Amino acid sequence: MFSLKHASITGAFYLLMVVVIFGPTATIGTVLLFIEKNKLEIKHTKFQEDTAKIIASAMQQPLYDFTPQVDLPLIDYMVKDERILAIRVYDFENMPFSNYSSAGTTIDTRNTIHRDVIFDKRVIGRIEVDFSDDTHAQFFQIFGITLLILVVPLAVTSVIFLKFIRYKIINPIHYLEKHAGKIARNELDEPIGMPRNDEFGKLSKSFEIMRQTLKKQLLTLDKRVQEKTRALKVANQSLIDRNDELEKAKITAEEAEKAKSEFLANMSHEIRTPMNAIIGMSHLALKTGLSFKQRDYVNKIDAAANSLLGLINDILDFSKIEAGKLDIEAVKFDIDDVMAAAADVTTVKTSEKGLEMLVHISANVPRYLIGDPLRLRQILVNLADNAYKFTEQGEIELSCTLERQMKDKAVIRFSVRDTGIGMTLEQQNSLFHAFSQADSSFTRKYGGTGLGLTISKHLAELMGGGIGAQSEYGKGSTFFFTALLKIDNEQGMRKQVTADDDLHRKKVLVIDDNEAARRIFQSYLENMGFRVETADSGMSGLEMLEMTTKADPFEIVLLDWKMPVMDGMETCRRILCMEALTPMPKIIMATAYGRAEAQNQVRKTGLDGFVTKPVTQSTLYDSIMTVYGRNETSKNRRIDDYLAKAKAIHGARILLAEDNEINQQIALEILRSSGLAVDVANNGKEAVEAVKAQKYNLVLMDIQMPILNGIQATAMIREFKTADELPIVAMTAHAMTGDREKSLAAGMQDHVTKPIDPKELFRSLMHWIPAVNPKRPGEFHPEKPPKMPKEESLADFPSRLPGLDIDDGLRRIGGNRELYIKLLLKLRRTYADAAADIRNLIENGQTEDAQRLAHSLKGVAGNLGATRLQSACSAVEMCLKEKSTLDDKILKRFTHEIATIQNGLKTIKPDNIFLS
Amino acid sequence: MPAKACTLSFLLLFFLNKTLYGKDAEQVIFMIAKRLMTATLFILFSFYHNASAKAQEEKSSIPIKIIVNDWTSQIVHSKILGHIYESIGYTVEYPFYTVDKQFGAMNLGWAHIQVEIWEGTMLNAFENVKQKNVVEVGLHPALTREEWWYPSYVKEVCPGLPDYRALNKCANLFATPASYGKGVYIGGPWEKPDAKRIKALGLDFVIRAAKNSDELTAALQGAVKNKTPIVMFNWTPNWTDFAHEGEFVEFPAHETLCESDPKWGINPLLTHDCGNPKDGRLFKGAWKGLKEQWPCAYKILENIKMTNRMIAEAAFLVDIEHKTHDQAARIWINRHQDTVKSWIPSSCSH
Repeated sequence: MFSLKHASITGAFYLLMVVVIFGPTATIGTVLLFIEKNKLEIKHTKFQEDTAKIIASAMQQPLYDFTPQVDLPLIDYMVKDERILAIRVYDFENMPFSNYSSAGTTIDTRNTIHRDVIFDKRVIGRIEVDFSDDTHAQFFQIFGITLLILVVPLAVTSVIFLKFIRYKIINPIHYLEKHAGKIARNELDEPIGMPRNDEFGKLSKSFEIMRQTLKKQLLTLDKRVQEKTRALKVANQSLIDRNDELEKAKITAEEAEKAKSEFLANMSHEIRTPMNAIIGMSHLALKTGLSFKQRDYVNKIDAAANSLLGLINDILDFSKIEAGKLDIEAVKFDIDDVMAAAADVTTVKTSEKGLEMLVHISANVPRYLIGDPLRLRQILVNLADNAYKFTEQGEIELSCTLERQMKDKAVIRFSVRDTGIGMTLEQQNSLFHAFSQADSSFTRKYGGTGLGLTISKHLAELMGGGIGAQSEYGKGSTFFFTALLKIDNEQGMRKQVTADDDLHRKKVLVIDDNEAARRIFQSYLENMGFRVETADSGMSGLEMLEMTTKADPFEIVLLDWKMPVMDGMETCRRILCMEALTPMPKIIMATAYGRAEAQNQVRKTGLDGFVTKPVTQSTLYDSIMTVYGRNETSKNRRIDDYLAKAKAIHGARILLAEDNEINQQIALEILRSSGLAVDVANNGKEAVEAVKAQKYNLVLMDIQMPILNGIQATAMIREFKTADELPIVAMTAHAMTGDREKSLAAGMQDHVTKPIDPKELFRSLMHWIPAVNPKRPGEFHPEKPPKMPKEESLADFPSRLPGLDIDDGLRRIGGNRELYIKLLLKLRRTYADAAADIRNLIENGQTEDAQRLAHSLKGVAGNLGATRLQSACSAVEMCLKEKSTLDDKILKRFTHEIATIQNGLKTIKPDNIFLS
Repeated sequence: MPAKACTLSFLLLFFLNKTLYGKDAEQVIFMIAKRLMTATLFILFSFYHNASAKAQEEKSSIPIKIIVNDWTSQIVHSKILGHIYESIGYTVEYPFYTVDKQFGAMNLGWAHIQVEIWEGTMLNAFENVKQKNVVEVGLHPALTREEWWYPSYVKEVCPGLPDYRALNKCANLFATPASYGKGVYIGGPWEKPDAKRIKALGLDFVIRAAKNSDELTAALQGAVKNKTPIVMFNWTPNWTDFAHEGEFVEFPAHETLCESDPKWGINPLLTHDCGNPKDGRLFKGAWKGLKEQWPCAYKILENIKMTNRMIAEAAFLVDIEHKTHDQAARIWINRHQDTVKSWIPSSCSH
């Protein structure tokens, strides 16, 4: 790109020549040429027109007299003109009259002019004259001449002009520029002088003076620079030193940040391990024969543990949000399942308070979506929990509507409406802020951390939506959030769940005292194609049935169990007594009881069917279909009763890789009680060997294990077993971000967190164990629940043991004393020389093994109530993690604690216990 | 055309009404044959009717244009024809054309008839247009001549006439004060090679050209009245044939080469050392379309046969008796009623 600014003067002069001289000359030349061309063309046209006119006039007489043979010297003369190629004359009947053409014309470009021959104002014939069209040739001739006349003298003048400019201006400038460059490069020795008296001569003299002055100054400057350089070096060094310090500080800060994250992860792990024990054990305990009081206690433990777990999860989520580490998954899911699961969780509580739990999913909501179903459920449960807390009577409605649908995405609006105490405007304004509830006094009354809404808000925002609430004080609240979800187009849109053709348009009576419930039932049923009428009580329902005509009877009655005055059972009984009703309508009861219980009721009362609350369109559809003896269901039933479902995988063989004995035991109990065959591997290495020796349907793999950890073991297994042959599910207390990814990357298929949630565990098992592949179908019988020894049967159970809080320990494992003693004996046996082992390992440089031993013992100690030992172990672990060496003080404390416990345990006689 | 349409619709109705009442096949075929015959007869009849209708020419309102020139005999001659045409229902117009422009106009269809085509002066031009759109429509019995002429009494004062050589001897007889002793020849308003002839034959004459034929008539009338010698341009047929005795001057006989080859004739250096052609034919010409467009008019033109005297009489009525051209034509027709009737075919009479 040419730039005038940076062009040399020579270049600029050339440009000037072109712009000032050649440019206008070319322009004027071109304009003149075109004018000339135009003139030429006009001249030609005029000539042709005039000639035609003359010829026409000359031909007037011959045409009139009809003397084609007559001599016309004018025409003969014209034909001789080289511009006229031919003349053709036609008479008044357009017949050729005469023809004149110049001999030997080979010109192709010809222009023909026509003209009528007029006599006495009337046309008496016509002439055609061909002219040679040579204007272009003439034009180019003129063009060539012009070019020669204009350009050649200009070029010569330009060369002379440029030579002159070069001599007078450019050469002196080059000379000065060369010397200025030298001055700039400090080459000040060569004198500057130009033997001429013009401006450049004077300039060169000034340059010379400048050179001399500069030379002097430079010498002075050199000295000063040397001095300054010395000073600078000193300053530099101090800066470098400071930088190093800063770098160190930065590293320290980063380490602190990392340590904080690690601490959070560890905290979570540490809390979850005992939580696992509590929840697992209470789960197992509930399956044993307990007295009412015991069952009540255990239930409460279970509830408290679950709520504690929820709290921990909340705090963890919150910390993740704070750290910006909360990720949203994108997996395919069924929105009906999510809604039902969220409702299920809350229904357990609401039924206690006598609240109605309603679920409504709009028909236009796409059923199969891609997003994070767990997080959606978490928000829903959060909001539903809130609603439950603040609602004493009435109902809670979870609903889901389609707000907006784009091509393959949909904005879904979820709302949770309650009929609770509601909020004032002020209270509403402080919602969604961390650690705040509507009112601080609420915390005391209703409990809770106030983190739930904040987390929900963040989650909704992460899903591309928002959250909000509408409320009227004293009347109830509606919390809603939106989420932008992709539609799973492979699965298709929500298929219209419509009743079969023969059921279509059947008349259904809905009897429910709750208006919202009636509305939802009506909407679902109408979507299916039924005609719906509603009644708000058993009495009015009966009246409507009586009034019905035989021509158009109600064929289905859908009635709520719990109604004031006359409940569902009573209404049902009365309907069955109405002999006038023919045909008897099918009666379906909506109940909040579990499946098994509801089935019992069906048998007892003569109901045709039931539908468990909360009702979704698909469950309602399935119920109606079942009533009509059609097995078709709207979709695979969700796993709501995992034990019943687990039958499908009875006899499957599972390898449990878990180093912690207590955790082993809990998992074992849960798995075996469901009819699964379970082998145990104590570490990764054992797991790999077991997999080699035995065929398994699935491996449950702990991540933190000695010798080989879960990740390493999986990698080894994957060398000879593919994921299809053997699915591996990670089991970890690490709930921090990335755990799932890490385990999946290692070749595992799924991930369950500790404490083990049996539902979660079975969901995973059901998913990964191929539908019944039992080794010996029918041969396997589920293990009976372990007998819970009565308290008296352990007569010589020690009342106290040094270093152990027995009560605490027992509580942690659900009060199973036998198990407790077993575990204590295992501790005695396994960790007899723990102190010496750790010392040896450290001396041999196997600090990681030492650390793992401390970690493992810490877990066991914690679970058994050996709190002091646990803290000593923790200190050892932390110390080893940080320094790779051990302070004597810490080791001494550890040795002391383990010795205390081991000494105490010596008093227990294993025989007594195992015999009973 | 209306007759045809009527016939066809009649046939159509005839078939539609009858054929549908079918009996057995044989009867139907017989009926169809019978009806076809009836129809054929009907069609033949209607064609015949058409043809006879065509024989009766419808006289259109488009006028027949008869050229008139600038001499009396031709004008009255034209009017005679025009009056005959008008008498049988034609519309007639008389466009004026000079001799040199008349055939062009006829060739282009701007004019349709020239009743007098003089061989001597018009033949070449007529031959040109004859190649295209003009036809010759028969001869008049009259023979034409255009030449120097003198009344008979001049012969008495200038012996040796009609030989042209006598003229030089008595040139002074014809002299006027303005002619400086040279004889004066009164020429016509039409271009003639008189000057060339005077030069080639060495005649001691000058030409005084009359502006029109009236001037010629006046000059002749004046001379005859006073019996003064006069030599002038004259032609036959002309009124003079009917009114005065006179003779044409006899120059060397005309040949075509005389006008183009100087060597020919008594003067080897000049052309035109001869007289005008003698006994030129007088014939009629018409536009080619006349025959088709106005068949009766064509037929009449063909039939007209004028003698020198008949033409002279017509001219006399105007030039001497001072009738208008139309009056003259009417008088002439009255005088020659039988002849005129014989020219009109019976199918064309009104």
